[in-house]
Amino acid sequence: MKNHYQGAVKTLGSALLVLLLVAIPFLRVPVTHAANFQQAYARFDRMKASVTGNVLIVVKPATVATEGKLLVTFPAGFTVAASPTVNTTGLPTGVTALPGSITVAGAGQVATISSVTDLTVGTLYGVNIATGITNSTAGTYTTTIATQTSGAAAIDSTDVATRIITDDQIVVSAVVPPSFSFTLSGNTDAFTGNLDSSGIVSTAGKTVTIATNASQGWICWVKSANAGLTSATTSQTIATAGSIDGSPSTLSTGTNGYVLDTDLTTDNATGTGTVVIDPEYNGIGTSSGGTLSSSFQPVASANGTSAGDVITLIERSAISAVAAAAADYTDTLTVIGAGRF
Amino acid sequence: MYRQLLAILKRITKSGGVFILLALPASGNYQLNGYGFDSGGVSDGASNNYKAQGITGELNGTSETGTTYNVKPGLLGTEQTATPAAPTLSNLSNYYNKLQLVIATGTNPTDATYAIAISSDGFVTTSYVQNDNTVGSVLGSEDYQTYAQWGSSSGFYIIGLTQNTTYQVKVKASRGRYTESPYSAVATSATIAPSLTFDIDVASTDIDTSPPYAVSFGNLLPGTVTTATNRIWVDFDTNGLQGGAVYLSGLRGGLFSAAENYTVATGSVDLTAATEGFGVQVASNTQASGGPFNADSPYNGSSNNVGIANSVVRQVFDSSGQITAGRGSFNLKAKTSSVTPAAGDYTETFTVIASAQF
Repeated sequence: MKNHYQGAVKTLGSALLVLLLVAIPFLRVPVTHAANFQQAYARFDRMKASVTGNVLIVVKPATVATEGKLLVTFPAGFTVAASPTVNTTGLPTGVTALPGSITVAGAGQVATISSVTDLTVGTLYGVNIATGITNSTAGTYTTTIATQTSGAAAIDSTDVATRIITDDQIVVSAVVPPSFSFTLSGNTDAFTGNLDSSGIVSTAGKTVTIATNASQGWICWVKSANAGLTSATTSQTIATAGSIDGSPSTLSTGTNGYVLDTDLTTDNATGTGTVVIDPEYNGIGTSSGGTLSSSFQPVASANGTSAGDVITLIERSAISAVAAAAADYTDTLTVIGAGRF
Repeated sequence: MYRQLLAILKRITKSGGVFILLALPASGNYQLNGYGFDSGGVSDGASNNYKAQGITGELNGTSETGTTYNVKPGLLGTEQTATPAAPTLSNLSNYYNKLQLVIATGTNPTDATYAIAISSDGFVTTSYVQNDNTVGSVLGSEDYQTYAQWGSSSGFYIIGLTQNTTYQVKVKASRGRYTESPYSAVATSATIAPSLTFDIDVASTDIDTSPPYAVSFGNLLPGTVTTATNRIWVDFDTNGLQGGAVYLSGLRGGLFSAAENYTVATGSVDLTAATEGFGVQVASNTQASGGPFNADSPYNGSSNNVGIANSVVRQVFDSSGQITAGRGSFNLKAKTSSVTPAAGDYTETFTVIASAQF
């Protein structure tokens, strides 16, 4: 029995040996050596020495294999954190996100991105090493990008040149100078008719156009030379009505009075400002207005920039039946403005 | 039987080749195909299973070896392919991962095949050029290729080489079994390191400047397109076979005033028509060779058409291949309106970077 067993083993061994000898020519072990990627680059979003920034890694595989890892070996002098972070946001057009539930770990000079799933030859893949890489000093370096199987067998590998420079930023500065334009539509403004004790008469009005890039807007002030309409020939004055109290005064027919009404003509939509007529001079209808003063009083303002707000200044007057007749009743209003920068 | 045939052939050789057969000897398995066995030998003694090759007047079996030439007497020496001359190994264009190899055939016929050994340590360790032009550790029968298959007089590129490495290459020829020649003399060439040169300058003319880099617009007058006097210049040079690109991004999305908390926004616009804006326009792009150094859209506009420069990293220049002494510049243009808030602290920070593709 033993001899039979030994004989069988011997026969089987011989058969296996023959099979092995026959098969040897066909059992060529495949050559495994890392090829270069079809394309590879590392874009350091900061090239300045000693700063930390995003590093975009892009590869186009060349070898048919089942990838499991992407390894980036940074040059000596660079710092690779133990726990860098990766993402696939904001990749350039035409670049596919590195597939898989990728994770990254740093060790020495190597950032190893794991859990990469199989890559297709000829497709551009990208991944950002968003944090954890600190540049070395200025100079030329070589970074190695490589893929491996999950078992760490080499697939593709490419050395890429990396340049670090002293400074990669340019500070741009500019000045937007203050601007303020202030335009009166005229310098005379006659009443539209003779002053009349039976009614209230107004001037046609003059506009003030204001444009400014003052972020706080503008203010317009008015002061009256006489706080009334004066006649040199009669030495009479039709005094301004009311008082400066934050609300307009209403003229009474047959009673001497003189006010300034300020109307909003255009609140220019270009700009950030909104025009506000000062309540004192924001007359209602055609019979009221603000009390004139020999000191500057604000008549309107805006709270932002404007490409051209327009207000209209209208003087209004009423007289009594005994007001001295004269053709030279006059007042001089000084109108000024300023931007609030 | 086979041994008997060989004995006959051996006797023929020793007798000086004078041997006459009155009939063609044959058996069920073997046949001597000719009577002639002159000093040129015979190579047609073949049947379905075996082939006899013979030679007469065989010389002393010891090879004569010199510094430059070897003499190998006998049958194998006669049939062996000629040793190819040293091939030509060249780095034609600052290559970092490939070298061009042109085989020298010597006197070998067109159907001769060649195998290529390559080393980076003087053949202390030897690798072989594979039939896909890569380098492998095993020389397979498929890696013997004809002169035509190895690119003829144009040669081919051995790819997948290591950067900045000197390689030695030698070639041997073959025309079938027992015909392989010795290796040729060695040809040597070196890859270089992958390179990327990049520099920034800020000036009104093409000169080199040093950091810190700053561009000042001065006053931006409303309704007027202002071009900053100083341009941003870049140097770009790479041996990357896929070229590379110069990129631009802006930190604040435009000219930002902290005092007014206002931004003259950047955009890809025609500033002539726009009421307000800020952007970049390429002013020049040249190269000494390679490239070309292209200006990319939207930065390649004319007149007052500018490209956006915000936080997204965008290409301003690119090259699709190796480039030497690429030089480009771009202008900064801005326009404000009458309601752009006045401020003296408008600022933006550009980051200009480059990357080469290998």
